[in-house]
Amino acid sequence: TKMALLLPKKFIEVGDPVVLYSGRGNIQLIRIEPGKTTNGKHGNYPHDALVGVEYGSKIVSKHGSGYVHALYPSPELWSQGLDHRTEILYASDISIITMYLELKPGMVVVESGTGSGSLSTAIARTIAPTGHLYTYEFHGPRAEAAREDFKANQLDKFVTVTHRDVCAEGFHPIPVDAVFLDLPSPWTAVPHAAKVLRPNKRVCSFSPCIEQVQRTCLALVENGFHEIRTIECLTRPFDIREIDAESGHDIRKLAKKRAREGVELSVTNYPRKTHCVTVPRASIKGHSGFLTFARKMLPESK
Amino acid sequence: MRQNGSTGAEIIQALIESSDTYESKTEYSKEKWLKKKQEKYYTVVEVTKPSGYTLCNCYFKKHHKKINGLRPDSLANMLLKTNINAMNKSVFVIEETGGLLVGAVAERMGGNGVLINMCVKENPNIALANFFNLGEDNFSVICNLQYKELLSISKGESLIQPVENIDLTTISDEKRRQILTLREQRTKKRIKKREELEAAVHDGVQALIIAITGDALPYVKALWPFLRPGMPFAIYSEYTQTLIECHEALKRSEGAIDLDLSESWFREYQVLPNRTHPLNGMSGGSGYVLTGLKVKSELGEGALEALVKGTAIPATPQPSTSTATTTEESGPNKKQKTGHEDQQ
Repeated sequence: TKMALLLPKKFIEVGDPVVLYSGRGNIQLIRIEPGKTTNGKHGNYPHDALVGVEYGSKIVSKHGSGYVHALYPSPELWSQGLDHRTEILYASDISIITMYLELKPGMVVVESGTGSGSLSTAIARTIAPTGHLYTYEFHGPRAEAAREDFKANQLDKFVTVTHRDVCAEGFHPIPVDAVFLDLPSPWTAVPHAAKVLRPNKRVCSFSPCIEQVQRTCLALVENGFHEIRTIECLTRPFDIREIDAESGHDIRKLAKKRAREGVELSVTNYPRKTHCVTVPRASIKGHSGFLTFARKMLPESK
Repeated sequence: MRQNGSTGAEIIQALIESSDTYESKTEYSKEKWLKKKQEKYYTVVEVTKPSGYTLCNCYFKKHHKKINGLRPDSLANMLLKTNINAMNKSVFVIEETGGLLVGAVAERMGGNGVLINMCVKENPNIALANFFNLGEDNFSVICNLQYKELLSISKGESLIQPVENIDLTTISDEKRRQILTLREQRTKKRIKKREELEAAVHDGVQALIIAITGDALPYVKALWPFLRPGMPFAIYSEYTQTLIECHEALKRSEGAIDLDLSESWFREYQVLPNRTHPLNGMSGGSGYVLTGLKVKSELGEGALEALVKGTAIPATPQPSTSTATTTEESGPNKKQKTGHEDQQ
C-alpha cells in the first residue's frame, strides 16, 4: 500500500498529493485529478501539466503570470497547509517532543488531544512502520475530521483516533512507550498516563500557562514520576541581507528601486563594498507553551 | 564521617544538629539547604538507557566541544527538518560531532535505508554512535563513504566486491560452521546495504545533514548533485559566517527554497510551589541551523558548482585499504568493538 506522506516519490502521477509552494506559509496541498485546475494567488495550474513532472520542479502558471514549486508533502509541509481547527504545535515544539520523548520506529504512543493532527502526523512519521499512535480527542467533530485526514494521508494504518474525555475515562489499557498531553487540565490525566506507561518511559505535557505547569508537576511527583523537567524552546530566525558597506542599504531593495526609476544597478556586480549580514527578525513567536517532561519510575523505586 | 562509612542520611543529620542557623531558617530555606547537602553527601545514581536525548544532554553538559557544541534542541530541530524516518531510503550525513549525529539519525531509521556517512577525514570518528546501544540491525544502516568513492559510483562503477561462497556443509567443526554462517549472513547484509547505497546515489539521496567545524559550502557544493530535488537539508554551525555563504550561494544559484537560518533559544524552569521561576543559569547558545529544500534550478544542474568556483573539498589521503570492500568490517573505527558485537 502506498503511504502518501511517508514514501516520497520522484515523479508526479494521477492521484498523488502535491504541495504547491510559493513562500513560507504559502502552500496549497492538492491531489492530482485529470482535467482539474487549481487556481491560486500566483496563477492557474492545470493538473494535467503536472503529471510526469519531477517533484522539486518549478512550475510556471498557465498564463505565465507566476510560478510555484511542486513538492512532495512531508509532515512539516502538510502541517503548514492544514486546516487549523485548533492552535497547532509548531516545528520547534514538535522537534523537542519527538526527541525528549525518545521516539523511535516501533514505539506505541498515546496523545491527547488530537487537535488538528499536526503533532499526530509528526509522531506517526517517527514511529512508522512498526509503531502505533493512539490519539484521543474530546471534541467529536474534530475527532472525525482527524480520522478523515489520517485516512486521506494513508496514515490510518498507524493511527487510531478515539473520541473520549481522557481526564474522566483514562486511556485504553494498552502498555505504551510514551504519552503526550495537550489538555486544559493535564494533572487530571497524569494518573491515567501512569497506568499505561511502561516503566522508564516518558511523558510530556504541553501547557501555555505556568499555573497548569505547577499543578502538573505536583501530579507527576504524586504518581511515580521522576526526572521532571520543565522547559521552553523558541526559534529565533534571522534575515540575511547584503548591504552596502557605506550606506547600509539592502542592495537588493536598492536595485529594485533603481529599476523602477529606470536606472540599472547590478546585484551580482555591485560597484561598491558590501557585507552579507544577519539581522534577527523583527517580530517572532515569543511563547507557545511550557513543555514538562518526566520519566516513570520502576514500581520498586517509589 | 564519610571515611568511617556513615550513610548520607547520617551525615546530613549530623550537619543539621551542628548547624547554628538551621532552626532559624524558613521552610523554603531549609529545603534549599537540605537539597544542597544532599547533592554533596547523598549521591543517588540513576541508570538510564542511552538515547539521542540522554547522550546529547550528557555530552553537551560535560564535553560540548567534542560534539561541536550541538545542543539537544538544535539536534532535534535538524532531525525534524530533514524528516528522518524509517520509510526513507537514504540520508547523507557529514559530521564532526564524534558520532553523536550519526547515532541520533540511525536511531530514527529503524534499520531501514542507508545512512551515508561522508568521511571528512580518512578514519571517521563516530565512536559516540556506539554508545546508543542501537543493536546490529539499527547500526547496519551506517555506511561510511569517501567522496572519491561517491564519484566512482555516480559514474556507474560498483564498489561492491563479490564474495566467494563457501560451501558450509563441508565444514565439520560445529563451532567453526556457526562462525562462518554468521559471517556469511553479516556479509550478505553489508552487501545489501552497499547495494542500497549505490541505488540511492543514482536515485537521489533523500536528505542532507551537515554539522562540521569548518566551512560547509565546499561540502554542500560537492553533494548537491546527489541530493534529490524537493528533499530537505540542514546545516549546523557554531558560527553564522559559513551559513551565510551557503545561503547566498544557494539563493543565487536558485537551487533551494524555504531557506531558513535560525538559532534555538532554550530555557529551563524550577517549578516548586510559590517558588516557580526560570533557572538562573542558562545555555547562551547552540550554534545556528540553516535549513531548506533543494529544487531543480532553472539555471541548470551545474549552477551551484559554477557559482562557487575554487572551493574544493580538502583532498583525503589515499587509504591503505579500500573502505568499500565488504569482506572487512567497514564500520566505524575498526579498533573499537562495535556495540552490536557485544550482544551475542
